[in-house]
Amino acid sequence: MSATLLTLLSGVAFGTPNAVESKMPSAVNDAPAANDAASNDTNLPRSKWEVSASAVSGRAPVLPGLALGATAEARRRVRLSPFFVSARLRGTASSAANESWLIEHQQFSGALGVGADRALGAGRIWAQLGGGASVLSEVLSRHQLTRIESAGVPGGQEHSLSVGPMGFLEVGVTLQMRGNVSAVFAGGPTLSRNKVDGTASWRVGCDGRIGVAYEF
Amino acid sequence: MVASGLPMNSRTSLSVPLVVAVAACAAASGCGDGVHNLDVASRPLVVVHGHVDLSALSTRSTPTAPLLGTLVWAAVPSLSPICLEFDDTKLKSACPDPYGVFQSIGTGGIETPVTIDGDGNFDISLFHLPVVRVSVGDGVTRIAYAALMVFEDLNSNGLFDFVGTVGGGPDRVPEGSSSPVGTPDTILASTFSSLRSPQQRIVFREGGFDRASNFYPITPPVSADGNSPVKTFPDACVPPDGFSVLSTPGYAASAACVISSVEGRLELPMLSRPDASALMCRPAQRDALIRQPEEDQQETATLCLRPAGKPDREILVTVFGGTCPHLRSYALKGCSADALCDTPEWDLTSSPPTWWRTECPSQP
Repeated sequence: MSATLLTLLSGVAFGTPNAVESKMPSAVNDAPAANDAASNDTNLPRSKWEVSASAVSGRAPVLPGLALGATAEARRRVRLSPFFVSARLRGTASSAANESWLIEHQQFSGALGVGADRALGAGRIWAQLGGGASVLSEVLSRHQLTRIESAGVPGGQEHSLSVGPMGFLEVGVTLQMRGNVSAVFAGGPTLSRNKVDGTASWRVGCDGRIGVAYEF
Repeated sequence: MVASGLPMNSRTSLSVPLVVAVAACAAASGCGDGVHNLDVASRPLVVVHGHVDLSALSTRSTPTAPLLGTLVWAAVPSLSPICLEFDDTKLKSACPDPYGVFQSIGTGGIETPVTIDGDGNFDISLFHLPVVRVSVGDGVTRIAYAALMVFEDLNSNGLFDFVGTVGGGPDRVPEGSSSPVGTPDTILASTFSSLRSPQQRIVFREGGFDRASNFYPITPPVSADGNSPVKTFPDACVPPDGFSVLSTPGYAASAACVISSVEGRLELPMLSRPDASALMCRPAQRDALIRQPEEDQQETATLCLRPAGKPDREILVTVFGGTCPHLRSYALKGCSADALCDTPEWDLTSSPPTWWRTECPSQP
């Protein structure tokens, strides 16, 4: 998988290696000049930072069905290279029910990632790989919870938690909309490990997000 | 750390602690108390504990039958008004004791029976609140009572088969059951069988409580002077919210009560054969309404009643025998809830059905 990923990242970053490298600034101090140059050449990055906010949906971490939520991400370009590092926070919620319980899961994750992008028309395509930790909070509620609680009967609701590592691979497109504002479309597989019913196990999922980004 | 051959920016070193944190989390992979998927099993909301003295069961009718314990919610007593309005010896066998506990039959009325262990102990797990139909009250003030019972599972189907139909057959016979029609299981012991006997009720209270309630009252609903209504639940008998156990010596003008939690183990007193049979048969008293006679019916009546002072109120009563005797009644003029009502819902005195005079000849 790592070889595939490396190939993917390299493909995005060095799709036209000669053209990119020939236009890369030679030193850090050249950055302003490079930015000026970049404004005339869409193959070069324009800004150091990019922040984005997205609505996300994907396979729920434990339950069947979809999880819905939001992602906030900040990226910093590594010098003026096609590479960037990212940090993201994500929160999703999913729920299901069986005969006895309403099960609500809220997953909060923080992750770091590395990736590379390439300009393409009025936008950029990119891929990134990352990992971090996730906290999965669970609330088990009995049916007729209000009735149970109003009757003063204990045990109507139970809380539990699972903390574990998570990773993601994401491929996306950023389309410039107006000025420094872009639209973001991304998706890819995820991997997370949680203790479910007393047993820790890995679970592969996938999710997609759509949002807006701001470069500066 | 070098990225794309460029020297490391000092700010990128900030990510090191995060990486360490991620690594630590990875090391503690899947930590926490854990979550559940859709297969998560139910857990009891409350467990009620019972005990029966096995040595006192030496007189069992069928010693080979499995001994099971269950919890049965009490129903609103269903009694034909004929039983209260007429004192006829032929009626008595078919009229249930109005002070007895009436079992709530149907969905949610009887909790899943469990096996009694060698020490006579059993635990009834309730995974849900009692269904609303077994509690009495309005939208914000409801009360439900239940009894722990031990019975002989005569057909070994693991269920409490009771007599619950007018015809005297088991109300609930599972598919494939070999239980002969009309053969209910046998109740041996119960914590709550009659208002007049010492009792331990399992109580479930939601919201407020009506101390003047006539739903299984603790004390008689009339005062000493026989006129003004009194509170049928003395202060000590008002149950708290949720589940509890109400213990009282029985129906009396001033009964004492002890309220306790359901965590203790309740001792089930043995019932005499007649009391057990009466308890088993009380759900059968469903035909409690007075019927209007129809022309195309033919009823072979047992009794023709003419209340004193109301000669036009002729009532035909048919008493059915069997395991659980019961009755069916028709009034030529009356109401479904009261054969002697002041404002009759129907009046067929001028043109009774042709068969009526066969069963209830005109008086000279």
